Order: sequence, then C-alpha cells, then structure tokens
Amino acid sequence: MNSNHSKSGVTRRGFLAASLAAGSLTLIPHALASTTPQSVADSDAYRAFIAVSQQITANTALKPAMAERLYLALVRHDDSFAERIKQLDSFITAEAIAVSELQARVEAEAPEVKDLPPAIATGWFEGLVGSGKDVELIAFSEALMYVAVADVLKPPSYSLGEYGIWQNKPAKA
Amino acid sequence: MKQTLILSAALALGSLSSAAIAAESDNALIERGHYISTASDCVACHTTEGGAEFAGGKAIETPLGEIFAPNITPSKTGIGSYTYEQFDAAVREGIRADGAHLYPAMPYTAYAKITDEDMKALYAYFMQGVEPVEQASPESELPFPFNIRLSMLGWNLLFLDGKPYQADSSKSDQWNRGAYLGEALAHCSTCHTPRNLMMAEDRSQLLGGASLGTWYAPNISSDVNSGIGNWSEAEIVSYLKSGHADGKSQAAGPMAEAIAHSLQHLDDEDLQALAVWLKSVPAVSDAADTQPADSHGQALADPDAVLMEPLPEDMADMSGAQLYEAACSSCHQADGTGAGGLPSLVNNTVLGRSNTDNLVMAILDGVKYRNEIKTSYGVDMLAFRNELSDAQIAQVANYTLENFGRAEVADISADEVAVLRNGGPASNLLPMARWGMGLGAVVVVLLLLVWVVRRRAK
Amino acid sequence: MAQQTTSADVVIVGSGVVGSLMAEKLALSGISVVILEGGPRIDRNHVVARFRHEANKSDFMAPYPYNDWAPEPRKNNDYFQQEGPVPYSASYIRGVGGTTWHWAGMAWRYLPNDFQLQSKYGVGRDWPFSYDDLEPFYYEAEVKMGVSGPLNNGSPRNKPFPMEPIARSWAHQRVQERLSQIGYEVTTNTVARNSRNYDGRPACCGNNNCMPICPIDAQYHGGISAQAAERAGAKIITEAVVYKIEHGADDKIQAVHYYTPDKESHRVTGKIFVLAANAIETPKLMLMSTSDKFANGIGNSNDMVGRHLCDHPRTKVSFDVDEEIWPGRGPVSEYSIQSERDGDWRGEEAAFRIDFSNSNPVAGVTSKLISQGVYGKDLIAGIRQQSSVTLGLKNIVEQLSDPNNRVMLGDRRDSLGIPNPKFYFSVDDYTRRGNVRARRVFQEIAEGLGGTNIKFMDENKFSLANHITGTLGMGNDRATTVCNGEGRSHDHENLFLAGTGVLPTVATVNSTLTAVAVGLRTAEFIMEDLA
Repeated sequence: MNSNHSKSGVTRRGFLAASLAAGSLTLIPHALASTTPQSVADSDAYRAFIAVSQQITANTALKPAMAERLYLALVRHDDSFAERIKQLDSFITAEAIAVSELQARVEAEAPEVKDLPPAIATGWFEGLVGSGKDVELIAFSEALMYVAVADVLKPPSYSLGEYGIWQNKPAKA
Repeated sequence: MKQTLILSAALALGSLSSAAIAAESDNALIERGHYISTASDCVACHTTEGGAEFAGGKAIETPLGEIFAPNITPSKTGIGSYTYEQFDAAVREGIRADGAHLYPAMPYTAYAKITDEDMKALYAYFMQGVEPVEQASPESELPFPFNIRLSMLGWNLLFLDGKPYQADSSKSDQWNRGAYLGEALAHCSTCHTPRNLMMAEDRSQLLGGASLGTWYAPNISSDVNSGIGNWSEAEIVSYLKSGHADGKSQAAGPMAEAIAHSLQHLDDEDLQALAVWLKSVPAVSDAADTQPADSHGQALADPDAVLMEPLPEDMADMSGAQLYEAACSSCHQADGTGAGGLPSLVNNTVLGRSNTDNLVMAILDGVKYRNEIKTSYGVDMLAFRNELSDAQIAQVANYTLENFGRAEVADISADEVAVLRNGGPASNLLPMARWGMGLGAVVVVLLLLVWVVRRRAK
Repeated sequence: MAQQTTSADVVIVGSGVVGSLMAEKLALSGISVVILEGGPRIDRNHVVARFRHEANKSDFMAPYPYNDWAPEPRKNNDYFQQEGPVPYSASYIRGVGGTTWHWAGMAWRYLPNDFQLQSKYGVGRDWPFSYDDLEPFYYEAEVKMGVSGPLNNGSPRNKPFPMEPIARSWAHQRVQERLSQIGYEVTTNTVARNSRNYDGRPACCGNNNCMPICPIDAQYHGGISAQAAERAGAKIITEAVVYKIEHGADDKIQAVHYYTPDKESHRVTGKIFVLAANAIETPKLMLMSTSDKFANGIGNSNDMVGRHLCDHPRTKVSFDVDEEIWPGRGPVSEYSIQSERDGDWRGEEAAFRIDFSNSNPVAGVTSKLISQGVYGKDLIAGIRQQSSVTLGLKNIVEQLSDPNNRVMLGDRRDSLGIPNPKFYFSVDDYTRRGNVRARRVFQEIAEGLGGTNIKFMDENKFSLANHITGTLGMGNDRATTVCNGEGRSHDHENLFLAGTGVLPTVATVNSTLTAVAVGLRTAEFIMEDLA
C-alpha cells in the first residue's frame, strides 16, 4: 500500500541522525554515545532549551521525556538550533526579559533567533515541530494546550466520559 | 421500581380468566413471589431474547448439544397444571411433574434452601402473576448416555441438601437475610465456588472463585488480597446495583447479565444484607496474591512516547503499545486512567488477578447489558472479536497487564485466546463416557451436568 | 487474453453506505450479490492510530490510506481538474464503507417541499415521487443506521426515531436558551449516532472526533453495513477498480470490467447492475464506458450524465460569545436552526439550515495565540479563555441544478490510465442571495449571544460541503434526467443508479440518509425484476 502521507514519528535512524547532529555541535567527544538521552540532557544547548522552555510554558516541572523528544526534533529540523538556543537563552538572561515582552524584544533586538520562541511554544503546546510538509508530531495527549484545558476537554478522539457527561456545566464555566 | 412490579403483576392478573379478582393479600403474596423470582433470576434461562417472559425455549449451548429451558408460564404447554407439591419438587428437588429428573442447569441445589413461605409466594406468582403463554419448548436431546435423566438420582443423593435455609441465631437478622439471599435465591456459589472431583461445590472453598469455561467467576470471599475483603459494603452494593465499583471493578459477562436481570432490582436493604454476608464469608486465600487485586499498576508517565514508533502499514505488525493506542486508549485514555465513568485500567481488578481470562473475554466480547442496568454509566464496551486476531489480543492484553496491572501474569498466549474465543476448553466427556460406561460413566455424566450448570450463563 | 469471470444476480459497484445497505437488503432476500470496491478494506483501529500519529489533524483524509490505483481528492493533490469560475472541491474515501467513515453522522430527512421545488416555487427540479413515497424507506434507513433525533425537526414521520436525541452539551443548552429570547429555535441534530448502546455498538462517549474517525463506532459508518452485507451472503471484492461497462445488442448491460492494482483485468457478469460508486466516480465511469451505440458513454444518450452537479456552497461566521460555553464537549455537530429551510421566499433565494460547530477549538486557538507572540501564563490563560467562548456557524445552503455545473473526464490519468474527473462549477445569484440572508441571520445570532470579534467569510468564497448531488439525477423527463424514479437508467433497463448523485435537489441537509432511503427503495424494484 502506498501513502502520500507517510510521515511523523522518529525512526531509529532519524533519532540517530538527530543525536549526531546535536552531538556534532555540542557534544563532540560523546558523538556516538549521544544516542542515549542522558548525553543530550548534559549539553549546554539542552540546558538552554530547558531554561527557555520553562519561561515559555510557565512550567518548571516539564516532563523530561517529552523535553528530550522535542529537543531532538527541533535539532533535527534546524541544524543551527543548538547554537541559536544558547544565544536566545543568553539574551533572555542578560536582559532579564519578561515572557510577556519576549517576542517583541527578540524581534527588535535579536531577530536572528526570533523564530525560536514560537517554534518552542508550538512544540510544547501543540506537539508540533517544523512546518509545511516537514511538520512532525512529538506529542498529542501530552501537548500542553490540552493539559491547559484538561478539566473541561479531552484531546479529540479521547472520550470525555460516560454518555451524556457533556450535559453538565463545566466546572470552571 | 416497586410500582412497576405491582403494575405489571396487576396487568398480568387482569388478563387471567380464572382469577379475575384476587384478594389484596393474594396481591401481596404474588408481588413477593415476583421479587423472589427476580432475586432468583428465573428469567435469565426461561426467556429467549425478545421472547415472551418465562415462555422458555432458550437454548443453553453445551458441547454435547443444546439444553432447552422449559416454558414455566401457567399454560398447558407450561406449568399451568402443576400443584404446589409438583412445583416445589421441580424447584427444590429437581424433579419434573412427570417424575423425570431435571438437569442441574436448573440450580435446584441452591433453590433447595428456599423457605417454605417463599416457595408459596413463588408458586402464587407463577400461577397468578405470570401471563400464560402457549409455546412448547423443544425437548433437550443430549446424546447417550447423557440422555438418561435417572442418572441424576445418585448425584442428588450425594450432593442435594434438601433442607431449607436455617437461620444462624448467633448472627444478626441482616446477616441471615444476606446469607439466605446469597445461598438460596441469588445462588452466588453456583458460579463462584470451585468444584470437587465429583463436580459438586467445595464448601471449604466457598466463593473462592472458579472458571465458567470462558468467563471467570472471581474469588468473592473476604480475603483482602484474593477476594473482596478490602471492598467496603457501599462498594459491594454499588457493584451489585450498577455493575460498577468505582476505581475497582465493573461487571461483565454473566455477572453483568445477573445484575441486569436480577440484582439491580433488589431492595437496597437486601443488597446491603448481601454485602454484609459477603464480607463475612471466610477468606479463601491464594499465597500468590500478595496484594489486593485493585492495587496493581500505574498510569503511563509518557503515553505519547508511542507516537515516536512509526506505524506499520499492517496492523498485524503493531506493537502492544500501538495496539493499545489504536483500540483501547480512546476510552481508557492514553495513560490508562479512564475518564468520567469509563473505567481506569490502573487498579482495575480485571488486571489484578492471577486468572486473566476475564481480561481476554472482555476484549473478545466486550462489556454488555448497560442498556439494561438502570443506574450504570450506560456505555457498553465494544467487542473486538472481529477486529483483532488471537495474537493481537494476547499482545494488547499483556501490554495492559505489564503497564496498568499485574505484570507477573502478562504471559497470555495466542493459543489461550483462541481457546476462549471458541468457547473454552474442549470437553472430552462424551468419548470418555461412551468408552467407560458403567459406574465410571455415571460419574462422568455427573461431571458433565454440573459443568453445564456452570456454563449456562455464558 | 483469457479473462477470469465472476457472476452474480446483482453486481454492485461501490461498497459505500448506499451500495452496502442495498447489498444487505438484496442478499437477505436470497439474491446473490457481488460488490466491487475500488479501494481496500478500512480498519477503524488502524485509522485511529494513524490519526493520533498525524501532524495535520485538520486534514480529515490524512488518516486514511491513499492508493494510486484508486485515487481520491486530497489536500495538495491535483486529482480534480477545474474549468469553472468556482473551484469544485470535495473529499471522499475509496475503500470498503466509503466516505461515511468520516462524516459528522448527520442523518436528516429532506422536507416534503424539497421534493417539489419546481411545482411549488418555480425553481429547480421536482422529484419523480413524493416525500410520502419515501417515508417508509427513510425509516428503514434510520433503523439500519441507528439514527437519533428530535421529533420536531421539520420532516414528518410515522414512527418514532430508533433512539432518543443525543444529550445536549452545555454550549448547546446556553445557545438554545439565549437564542430563544430573540426568536430562534435551536434543535438537536438528527444523527446516525448512538444515544444508547445500539446494534452492538456503544453509546457516544464524547470523543469529539466524528470527523475524521469515530474511534468507538458510536457513530454509524458504511463499513458496518458492508460487514452486515457480507454476513447476509454478499461477496465483496476489494481493490477492484471498475473501468468499463459493457452492453449487449439489446442495450442491456452484460458485464462490468475491473482492474486489480496490477492492472489485471476481470469481467463480472450479472442480471442486474447497480452503480453506487459516489456522485463523481459513477458518472466518470459511465462517461468512460463508450461504445459505438453509446458514444457519449453508458446511460448518456441524452448527454445528461454528470450534469446538474449541486453541493452546499456555504458561508461561515465565527465570534466570541459573552459567556463561557466551552464548545468541544460531546459530538462535533450537535445543534442547528431549521427555520430558514423553507419559506415563501424560496422562489427568489436559497433556503438553508444553520449548523453550529461543536468541535474542540483548542488547537486553532493555541496556534493563533502563539502566532501573536503570546507565551507563558498569558498563553495558558488565553487558551482557556478563548476556547471557552469561541463559536462557529455555517449555513447548509441549497443550490439550484444547472446543467452547466458538471463532472467531465479530465485529460490527466491515474496509475491505471483512468481519467481524473474534471469540473465546471459556478454559484448563481439564487444561492448568493441565500448567503446574504445567512449573513444577516448570523449577525442577529451573534448579537443575541453578545458576540464580539465577529468574523464573516469572504462573500465571494464558498465552503463546499461534500454533499455531491444531481449528477445522476432521477426524474420523469427522459430528456433532462439520467434515471427514472426507480433509479433505472433511461437507456439500459437492467442498470440502476444509486447514491447521492440520483437526488434531483440538494435541499438544506446532507444527502446521505436520503440517498440510502432512495437506494433501499430502488432495491425493491430490483427484487421485483428478479422475482
């Protein structure tokens, strides 16, 4: 069977390639060993990514497994991600930028990394990395947009509950 | 509920030609008989799907042939000519008006414990409260030697305790009521008590759990790990009424049927009494059960990890995690914890017992009868019999056990699924019986017949 | 070349909802039936997994396998060729069960006046029979498909629905109450969705994924009836792409020919042939099947095959309600307004039904907020706030049949060498006037709900609904229709047409239930022929 939509999902080869890409930029001595998540987590770029992610998600307890998936996917889709995320992190730290003014400040003062905050936000909240035909899914039920409304809605395709439960007034409404 | 009972009894009465106007006391007696009939779940066997109530004709499948439940309405083709004594002999002794012995598909060993008073009410109900229907049931024709009904005589001598329920004066009225309901009417032990070599209930293992061939009637003794000793009375009552004990278990298979037809209609006080009695049944313990059945497993920490596994073009190549994602997670949720009344698989007793048959059966045949259970959450579970292969069912069942349940029993094989799919282990009783004959054959006849009883609700 | 030949009393092309339900009915009456399906079997569980893995979750075709040998319109593919002023778009599934694998389960009957548009209002076409003639078949279809709905939905009925209406969501309750204050009656939709366990399928559990796939079969789809047809004895041959219809000297159809994906040709003979292969693929097949006698294609001596294409060229609005209603709980399409489906004005402007969206809005809201540079706590709060108030409406607007709007054979070909379909499509002033009125109604509704941030769709754009009708239109006038009221081809007495294409009017509801009812009625004429 053919599919014109064969995509998404990390193949083992994709994982390896991404890890090597990350390794070549940040972890040269550990290039081969970097197929293990631990070595990714050890890198400066990864630490920068986590720091920026915590700002963008207003969450300091991000799930490590999802963080790794997202980081690897971002690196896979953008050769320069590992370098530029450190730059973005330094910029935010040095300027003590509040997240509410992040996008405006980055566009004005660090336009070379202005694409990173929306990419990271899209990854965490929508579970998507990349654009157009290259878009890749790294989360669905765990995507933070669904976590944000979990008391009222389920991600589409997951049952809300027993028949008719939707009649009730949502608790927060 | 009660109003419906009275109404339907009254309607039935209205159509009776012989008893045009019944005295008020008769009405009360008939109503009580109706309740006893409901508690005893007579309708389960004596009514075909969509057929007239109690008109019989329902075929109970056995590997040796079909046993047909007779018409028990007060008609010519039914039991209209039965005297009280004849009715009593059928219900409590297993002997038909023509003297023939009933097969123990009729649970007369339990009904033998029914009190005289209740028997009279039951008789009044069946004679005056039930609509007569002229409809002859096919005669059950089991192959030789199982067609010799007299063979039941010996077995009855051994295992039929003809005495009505005797109250235990050291226990409360509530306990005694529960024991009577459980032992005589609801006949819990027929399914839930294991059998000895002669296929009679092993009273030392009362309610200790037994297989019905496909579904498994679990240990419901008071053992905390192996039984339901850690259930509160309220949880037991909720289960018997709605088919759900939240966060613990949900009724499926023959138990859901028993709740639909019988248990949900019992008064709350009776359900409470049943719960009190159940909690007191001596613990039947299995050393392998080191923690309660509802305490296994945990939610998946990272359910979306499955999205990183490329999906195969052929479902047959899917991993257990992918099968769970494809077939189970829509209701039980990505992390296995259920939602809004749809059961969590984590801490679910179906995934916490050493016997995994009910897990496989639920996947094969789904969970039914929720339209018929009034206070249930209302949603049946789909049957996957026609959607997943034996290997896929084994794979996804093992996946759920490993992640949400009792990981040590996650060793279900495709062959085991195939056996359950096809109605349970094959019986070799017929060739044995014909080969052995004589005394040996009689024993085997008995084995078979009781085995039939235990399969009847399948 | 030696051909393998299959034979049956009735040969049905297409295993969608109409073909499968006709097959089941015929097979149950003891008639031998073979169904030829171009696509493969579809496995619900597999589609669910593919949906979850899919990045573009708003592409309702993406979870379904695509097959070169049985192509179908997809996002960014060029299967459809266009000639007219308005590009014609549709999506359909070529596979066992057909396109009802993804639909919102809407199972409306037409209104009685939808059958007599010409005689009543002087526009459009009349049907060759009345609503009353179809009523028993509507009910038969509703029982088979498991339809729930409210009694006051505008279409008279002799028997109650098989199921009670679906429980109303909180959003529905609030909108209904508030709009009743400004004179609009909001009705629960009539849907092939279980409001209790029905036919071995569970009650709806609010998965809010009716499109692209109901993961629990609480919503009916044609695959359920394809299985039922097989249980009744019908034989389904999958991956069998019919490419030629063969007639004899008496003009009767003798056989159809199909290709396997490897282009191996097979011939299937029968006494009666039914084309139920979708309102675009069926006319395409007829147009391809030319002979000396039928140079314009089978059944096309009057050049009417493929013409009179109608759909619902809808317009939409979205706005924010002034209270938290939280759409997205329950089924995706739950409630609507019926009052604009018929009226004295119908001679001048199009009727429509207004449908409220109850799709989970979270993904769209999130994407928009991120594009605005909103992050952190503001993003989380924004997702919650905007998801709780957003509401979308669309109008299911009728279109008059126009012979110039049509399906033709394109010059591009698929992997088997079969032509792609080509379209001429336009939207006339009758429908545009209907959309103008719809915008007025939208405005009133928005105001009634304290709406802000009201966004109308561009009035020169149309959102087509995949309600493809008219291309095989039935009627008494042999010069302007393709088949008679029995569904029988005017040219070939043993050829029956079925599916949404035979409906002469598009009305203001989706065409599925009506196409099934007409197909079940046609099945009775087939049974009479074979008796």
